[in-house]
Amino acid sequence: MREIINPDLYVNLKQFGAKEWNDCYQCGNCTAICSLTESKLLFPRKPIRFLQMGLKNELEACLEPWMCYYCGECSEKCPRDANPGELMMILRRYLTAAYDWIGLARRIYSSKTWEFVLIFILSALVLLLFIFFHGPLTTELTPEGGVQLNVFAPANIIHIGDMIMAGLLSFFLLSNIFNMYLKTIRRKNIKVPFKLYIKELWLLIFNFAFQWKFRKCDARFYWIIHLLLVSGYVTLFVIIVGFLTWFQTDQIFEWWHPQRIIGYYATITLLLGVIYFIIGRIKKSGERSKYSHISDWTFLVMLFLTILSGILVHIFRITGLPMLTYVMYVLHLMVLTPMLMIEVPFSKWSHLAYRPFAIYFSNIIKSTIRTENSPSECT
Amino acid sequence: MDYQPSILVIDDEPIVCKSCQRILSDEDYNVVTSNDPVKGYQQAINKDFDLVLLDLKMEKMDGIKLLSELRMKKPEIPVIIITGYPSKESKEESFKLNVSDYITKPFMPHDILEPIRNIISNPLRSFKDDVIKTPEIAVSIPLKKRLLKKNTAIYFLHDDLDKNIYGVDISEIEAYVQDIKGIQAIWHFPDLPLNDVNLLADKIKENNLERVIIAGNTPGLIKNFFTRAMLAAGNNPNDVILASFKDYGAIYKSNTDRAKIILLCALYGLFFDLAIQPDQDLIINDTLVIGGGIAGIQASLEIANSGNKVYLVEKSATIGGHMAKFDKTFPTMDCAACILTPKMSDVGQHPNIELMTYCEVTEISGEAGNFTAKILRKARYVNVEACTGCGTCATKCPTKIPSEFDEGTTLRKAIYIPFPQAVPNKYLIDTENCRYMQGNKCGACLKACPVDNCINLDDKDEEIEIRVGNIIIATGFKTFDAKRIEDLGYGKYPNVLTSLEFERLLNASGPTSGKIKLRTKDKKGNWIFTDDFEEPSSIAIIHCVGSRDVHYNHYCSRVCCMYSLKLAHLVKEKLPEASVYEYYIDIRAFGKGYDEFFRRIEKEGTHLIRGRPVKIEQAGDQLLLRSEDIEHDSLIERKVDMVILSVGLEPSEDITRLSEMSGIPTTEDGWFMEVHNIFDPVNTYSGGIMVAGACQGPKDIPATVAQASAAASRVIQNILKKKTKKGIAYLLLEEMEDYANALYERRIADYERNY
Repeated sequence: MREIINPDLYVNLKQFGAKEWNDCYQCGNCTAICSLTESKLLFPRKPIRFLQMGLKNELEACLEPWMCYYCGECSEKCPRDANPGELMMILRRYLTAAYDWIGLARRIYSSKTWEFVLIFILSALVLLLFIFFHGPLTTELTPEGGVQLNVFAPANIIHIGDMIMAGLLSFFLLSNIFNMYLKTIRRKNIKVPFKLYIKELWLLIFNFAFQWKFRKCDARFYWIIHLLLVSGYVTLFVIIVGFLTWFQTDQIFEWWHPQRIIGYYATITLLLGVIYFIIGRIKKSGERSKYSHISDWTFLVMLFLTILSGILVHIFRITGLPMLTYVMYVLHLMVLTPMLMIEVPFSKWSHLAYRPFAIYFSNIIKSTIRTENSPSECT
Repeated sequence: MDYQPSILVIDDEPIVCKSCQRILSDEDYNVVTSNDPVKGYQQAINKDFDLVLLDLKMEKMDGIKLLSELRMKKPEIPVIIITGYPSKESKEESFKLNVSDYITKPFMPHDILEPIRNIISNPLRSFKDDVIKTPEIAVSIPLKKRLLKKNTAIYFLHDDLDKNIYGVDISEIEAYVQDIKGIQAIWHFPDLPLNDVNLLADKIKENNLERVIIAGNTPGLIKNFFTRAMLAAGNNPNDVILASFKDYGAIYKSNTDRAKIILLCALYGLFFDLAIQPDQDLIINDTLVIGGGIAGIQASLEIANSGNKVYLVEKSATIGGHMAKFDKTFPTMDCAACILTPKMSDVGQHPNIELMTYCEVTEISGEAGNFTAKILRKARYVNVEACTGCGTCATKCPTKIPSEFDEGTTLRKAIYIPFPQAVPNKYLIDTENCRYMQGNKCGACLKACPVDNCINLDDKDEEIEIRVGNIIIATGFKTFDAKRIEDLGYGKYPNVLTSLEFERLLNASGPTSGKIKLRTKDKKGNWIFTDDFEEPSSIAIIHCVGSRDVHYNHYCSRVCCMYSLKLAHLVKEKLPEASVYEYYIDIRAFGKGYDEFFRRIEKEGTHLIRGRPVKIEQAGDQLLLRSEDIEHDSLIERKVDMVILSVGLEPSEDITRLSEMSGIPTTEDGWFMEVHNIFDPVNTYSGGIMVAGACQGPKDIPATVAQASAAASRVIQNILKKKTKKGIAYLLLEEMEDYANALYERRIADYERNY
């Protein structure tokens, strides 16, 4: 089969942070030390070879970059210091940009201007919505001494906004995943029997929930922290999209009430996780934290500010400081909206979908090939 | 300057004489005036003047006539005509008679001082005085103060756009040459673009250049640009001179002085190596060869066979080096000992070779052609003349230690012979492990020895001094210590061996007489190989251990691919049923017969796998290796019985000491620095000391033997010419300047004699 190579492929990757790509002399040390590699799932050497040879289509069809959880052992053992771990990270950014049919992801990764302008636009949008449509700025407190937040920002209206945002997010993300399917399974011309999609679906859900493959990495502690963070995030997401009217209440319950406990659990796990990762990046403690692209920082910082502002909203509300509560609430939504709208479909947070789907697709391909015995390629 | 130039003024007008005297003595010239042309002529002939100022219209004698007669007697003396009646004819005639300048009266002091200054400092005009005036009377003019013969520009070719020339300090060099008269411009690489010939030609014309010097590490790269530009500017295209720093080893910052002199020589048209490495008399014909491996042996034999004496000094108790440890050599599968031992015994018996084993060179002093080397002869405690090599002492010795020659796979006694074919075939006592030497009671060997006065337990170290004319350093290499890579489990798992250990196992004089067996433990828990243990059914050989790795040694050790293939072949020979797996990154089969050998190994059924394992783990009785099989696009986890690590080559432990002793620097990798890797690999910048073999860089046996012969031929050349080259490694800036001055003056004297 004739394959046209793209000699400028490396140039494309420079915008995602790649500095050197020619150091790899294909020894296979990285693949050997990685605990997640298996036959037919060979990385990081193989994707890097595609990069070196300019095989753009092969690279876009590659699911291997998503199999890596960046423990960094490959970079430690590389005899050329070619930094395979970081190259896999760069390939993940590249693939995120490749799956995005709108083209925003590429711009966000390569240009700080685009990223910050988009954040600014979305924040400003939220701010304007509040300025024109906010409820009365009542300073009357509830009988318990809490702020009447739902007068200022009625939960049912905010809920509608939530659901619109969730809808948009899902639309973008799912369409990108469809694009991923086109570029991987469809492009390889592998005829997958439909039943297989259903059969392997459990794997998708399981990996999405528990990041089960991650625990095979030698850095097990990292998996645990990440898992806790995910549990906190999922909890909050479900509550806010599904049960906002129950959650955003002006009543002040006892601290052991589910509404408070669940909220605290989610907040604490998120906070611990984010702080752990931020400190890791500042101290550059492990291989995975040594190289920070601007997209890595914006993700962490926006998440941190969202959590922080959320905590402050809660504190101000229960201690009865109305104006501060309202201001902090607006700020909270001003950070939260761009964070979700930009990061989930178009930037780093997209890994929440791409990773489990990559595992799902690669398993489907493996099962198909096993039954069909067709020649193997990069799965 | 320490002496005042003297000027003779011949003019029949007293006023002119007086004013000239005043102008010139103000400038510290020694002035003699003469109103009478005849007397002036006499003075010009009889005395030494640096310059003559001559009037043309004089009553008693015409200036032109005086000049022509003066030219017959003193053709070289500079003359400046000063005349109040300038005419075209007289000007033509004067210049025909080789005057330096033609000045019309009346003149300002400046009109006459300028040309005088130019002439006085121009060496060609006054060299005769330099030659006559010996150094005691007047210091000869240092080279830098001399005016360049042609208007010159210097172009520094930097190695990168940040204006670095790797190694030397450019600003120092520029400061050194800045003040030389005749340099019209100094350019630097990124500032003056080279691709526009016309621009360059304009610059050349603008600065009135007659010559361009390109200075840098590889100036030849851009010579063409300047040649074309010179031609376009109407100059001689051959007047583009290269001053290459790298060519003369000025590659480190400490060699900046040498780089300065390289540029200085280029400016004055001197050959650097002719100037700075003058020949030196070879006082002594004897040669010292340090190191008794195959390189040392080959070099000694070559020199000894030419009829000259060699001292071969080896720090261990026998010659033979690493090659004696090998079982077979690639690609011919010759038995290493079979091809080495004839040479070893040649060395032992040669009348011209004084073999000094168990000796170390402690100091080298003197200079090329006349070295004094201090050698420490370590005490053997055995009389070398008397010992018959019977071995009875060893059978009675109670101490057992792992044998260094056998890489720890066998045990030797404290009184021992390194291996059966050792040259000299004499025993020696290892003081660190001998019970008696450590203060305990023993003496079993002494009692057992059948020869009188053979073992002498009171033997002492001895210091010997020898005088030699040339030295060859052939100290070889050591293997990479595989313990440094913990993941590979060397030292942890008994069946992870290095290649040298495996060579000893394969050898007929090894622990199992050549049978391949798994390593096991003895009653005390030590690891041993025994005859009656199991054989491995699968062996893995891992390439590039400690080589091609930025964490350890980034260079390729060159020989490991070939010896790994050789080991695979030998395993298949001895255990045809065993599976052999070679894990490699690339196969480097670069020499004569090497690729054919590789094909042969492939056909024998050795599994060659592109993809390296990183960790070796214990899996029951076997060792687990996990690696990628790149050619078959899969991941393999294989269990083998034994793993052989193909360790790389490193410079030997005492290379730092040797480097300081000999003055030969080591490069970044740690190997000795030769003059030029391609054109002069045996020579060094320390005069009279050569390097041969693996100590200059990792190499296989054919290359080592060739290099040893090359070093020997250089030594024999020196002996035949009775001259050697002075070393430049230690020269100071002032010394180099003196040499350059001296060569320049010798050339002028030659010029003077011939013209």
